Amino acid sequence: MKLYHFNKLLFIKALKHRCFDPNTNNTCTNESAQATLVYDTLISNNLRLMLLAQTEIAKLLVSWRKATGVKQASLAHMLGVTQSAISNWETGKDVPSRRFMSRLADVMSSSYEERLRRDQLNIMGQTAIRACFDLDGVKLKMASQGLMKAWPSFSKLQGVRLVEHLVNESAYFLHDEGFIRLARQGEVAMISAVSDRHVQIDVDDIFRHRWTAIFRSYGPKILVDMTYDTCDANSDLGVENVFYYDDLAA
Amino acid sequence: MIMATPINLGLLLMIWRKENHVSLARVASFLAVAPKTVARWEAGLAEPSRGLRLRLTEMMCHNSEQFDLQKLLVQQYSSFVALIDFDDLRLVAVSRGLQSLWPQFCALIGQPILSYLTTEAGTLLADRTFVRRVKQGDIVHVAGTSERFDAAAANPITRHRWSTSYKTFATRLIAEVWYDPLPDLQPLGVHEIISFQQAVVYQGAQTSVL
Repeated sequence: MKLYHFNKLLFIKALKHRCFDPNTNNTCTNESAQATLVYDTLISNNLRLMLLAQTEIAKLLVSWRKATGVKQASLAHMLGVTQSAISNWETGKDVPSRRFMSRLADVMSSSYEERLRRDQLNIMGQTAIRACFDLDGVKLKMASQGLMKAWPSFSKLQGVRLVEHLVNESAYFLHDEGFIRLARQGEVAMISAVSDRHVQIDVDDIFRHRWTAIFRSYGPKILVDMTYDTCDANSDLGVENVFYYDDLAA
Repeated sequence: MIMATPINLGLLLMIWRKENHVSLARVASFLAVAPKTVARWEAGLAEPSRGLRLRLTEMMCHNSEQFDLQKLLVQQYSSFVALIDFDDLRLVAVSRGLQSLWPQFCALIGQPILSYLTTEAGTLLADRTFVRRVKQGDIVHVAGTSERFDAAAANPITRHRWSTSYKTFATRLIAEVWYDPLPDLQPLGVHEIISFQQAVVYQGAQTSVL
């Protein structure tokens, strides 16, 4: 895929059209939601990295936390880092890595709500067995038509905290604190495995299946997008693949 | 909210186009608007609508990581899945399940699949309103039931259910199609269209839809 890029100076010139509030010396915060959305979306990916690397991420972070009331500790939890790492970023002692720059922009932006809604409509319409879980507590967030048909009782468990009930291959990953931290840090791209069941709750029929989980960030949340696939009844149980975003880049 | 600030999207677009040698006509065709409209945005004479602003920014922020991930994901499936470029109808990736089900169709990777289109897909793609709404990011999901894939019957295909989601990766608009060759006995036709703005806009079983 072709990489698109901006000339930095020209880009900054274009951004001069932003308006500033002379009283607070901050950018206006009462603009329309639409403008916010566009701006947030725009500084995604390489653009936001470039831009945020230039501006003072620390200042942004402090003012964002002040405006939203998010504590250093809870931000550290969201990103899977220590509280002192956040503090070091804010005081300028340290600079977040490329991955964290992008996670921070994601957390601080609000465009994820639109993305979330779009992906939700997509999944709900699918006849494949698909579901989305909040990594936090492994709560069921979205279920496809296919899932409702295959596991009707399970699909009603929306919003229920499942993490304590996980077994087998799912538990292998999601009960591993080190793995969860990597996922929160936005490092984990995809895992796949063969399982009979995921939760220790007897609700629906059990059958052997291959599953693939994709980890995506939506603002402060990491959602796990699960696809439950058909497989040979004699397939071996166990983990098949783990991909990290760095593997994809290589 | 980091910076709730309006930006001059038209100016950005012009810079982005020049930097990346993308013609005005290409952008217009990508978003299904008139070239004149794009020129007006760039000149600051008009503003793109909310939906189009989203599409424009998605277009300008490349996302090769997510696109690679999507291809990798689809290739892993033992279900029957294909990724098709919506603009030139080229087959981008297929699942290993589809590979064994329809090998001749899967051999077309990288090539246009125009001759394989079903009656239902053909009808939808001939519907200019439908194409425009997909390109502008409004229609996110379509499902239906079709029969056979190609006129030459290279792979004899019986009735199957299909379900398509549209995803964007930079300037690419990709259709992810799931095929279900063992459907319940549904009539042929398009059964469901889901719009971003209106939730379900259509449920039924005719081929003329919008």
